[in-house]
Amino acid sequence: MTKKLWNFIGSVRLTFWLLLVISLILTAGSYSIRFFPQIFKPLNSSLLQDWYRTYGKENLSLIWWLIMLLALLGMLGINTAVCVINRIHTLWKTRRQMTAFVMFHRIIPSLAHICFFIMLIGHFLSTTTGFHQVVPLYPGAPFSMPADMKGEIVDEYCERYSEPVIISGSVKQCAVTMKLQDKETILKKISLLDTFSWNGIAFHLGMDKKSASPDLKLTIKHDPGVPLIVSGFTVLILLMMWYYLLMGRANKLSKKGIL
Amino acid sequence: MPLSGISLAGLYLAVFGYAGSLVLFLFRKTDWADIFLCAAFLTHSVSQVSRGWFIGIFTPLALVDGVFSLPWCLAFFMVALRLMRYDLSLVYSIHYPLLLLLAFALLYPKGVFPPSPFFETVFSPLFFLFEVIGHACFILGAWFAFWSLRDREEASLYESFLIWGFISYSIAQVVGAIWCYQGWGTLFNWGERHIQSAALWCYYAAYLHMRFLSSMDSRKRAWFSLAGLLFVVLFSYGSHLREISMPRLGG
Repeated sequence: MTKKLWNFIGSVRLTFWLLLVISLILTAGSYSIRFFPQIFKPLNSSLLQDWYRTYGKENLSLIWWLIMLLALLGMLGINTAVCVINRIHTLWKTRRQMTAFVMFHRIIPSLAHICFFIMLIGHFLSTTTGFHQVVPLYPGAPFSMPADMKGEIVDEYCERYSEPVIISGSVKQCAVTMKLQDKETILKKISLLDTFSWNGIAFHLGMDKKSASPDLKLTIKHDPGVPLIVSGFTVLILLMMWYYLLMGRANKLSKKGIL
Repeated sequence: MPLSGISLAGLYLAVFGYAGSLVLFLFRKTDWADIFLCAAFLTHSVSQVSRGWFIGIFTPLALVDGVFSLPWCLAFFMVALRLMRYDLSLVYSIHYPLLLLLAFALLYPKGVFPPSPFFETVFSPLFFLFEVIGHACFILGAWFAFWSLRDREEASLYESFLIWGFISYSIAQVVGAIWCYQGWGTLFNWGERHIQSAALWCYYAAYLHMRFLSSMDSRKRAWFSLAGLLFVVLFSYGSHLREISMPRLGG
């Protein structure tokens, strides 16, 4: 009974159905977000649990899809982990019956699934842990950070296009100079799209595009999930490319009886 | 003639050329159909590249605007399959979705998005480029799946299109996440666009797993990839229709 349950939890069939249902729930969720942005937009600037206390708890009928999504992603994580354990166990037992190349080719999907699992953990950490603060910008504006670090806006400026005439006056680039205080004080200039990291905290300069004059804001963030998601996803793609590029050669070897 | 004029003239000529190529093929004038196809693709490419200078300065994002670059990408695959001597009638059947997408592009505002400091990174055009390649592969995958359901064995290459479309779409997700992090300080935004991208990614990830289920034969997989076309069209063209009212320059 336990073995049957274990095999069911780690089955590809369950993976397929979970992914399909998650896809449909995300589709429903995307329309929910379109029609109720006032509920879901704050999710981008707060941790999931804080958002739930402020917005989610009172709108359970509108966030049902998000609760289901989180539950299904949790199940997908368990499914992925069990599937990888089962496959690596099977491959390890039969390792002497195949060449190193075939063994490597067959283990690639498991490695890709480990990367996917790392990505899921990264997303979990991103949405539930860390630090997120958005501060308005004007010279002299102070801001606080974790571990008693302090900062202050020193200067801000925006450069505009002068030509061609069709875009004359549009914002080309904006930058701010910040004074950051920890054990020592540093001055740092950052511009749009130019992220700066300091003591594990990332600074991003943002701009509200809807306003005629650029409405700058500074996002101060500590997000432990970022390296896990980016590295996990990148390696996953490389492994997938490798797997499908080597597929022809691996199939030829299998057909020849060289397992 | 300004480059915006060349871009528009190239687009209209390309539509004329593709339509001519299809008509000639239907009248079994294969050589002339090939000549029309190559000429149309050439003018289409000139039109697409000159879009980059539509407003007088180079805006890379204009090159990869989905409404105009998706048909170009389909045409590119059609020419590539023709050069690889793939089944003639299947290759020429790509004209139907291509002309449909081009008809949409002809009715759509031709201008380009104004330059923004948020587009001044290599990750932004790369994101749109890989997303368009992914969408083109999904559309062709569905198109060949349709022919495979009509017992055309040669159409079984739809699986390759779906696999490489998924890989391209995954690259778009990573590149897009890096762009989002640079510009907005987050890898994932709880917005309609990002959620729909995740939905599409999960759908085709489900397809990849479907291939390992013995109960899901090739016909079921073909139906699944055909259903995927609904998602691709709903999400990509739904997004284009929403953006129709956004400010554009030129055109």
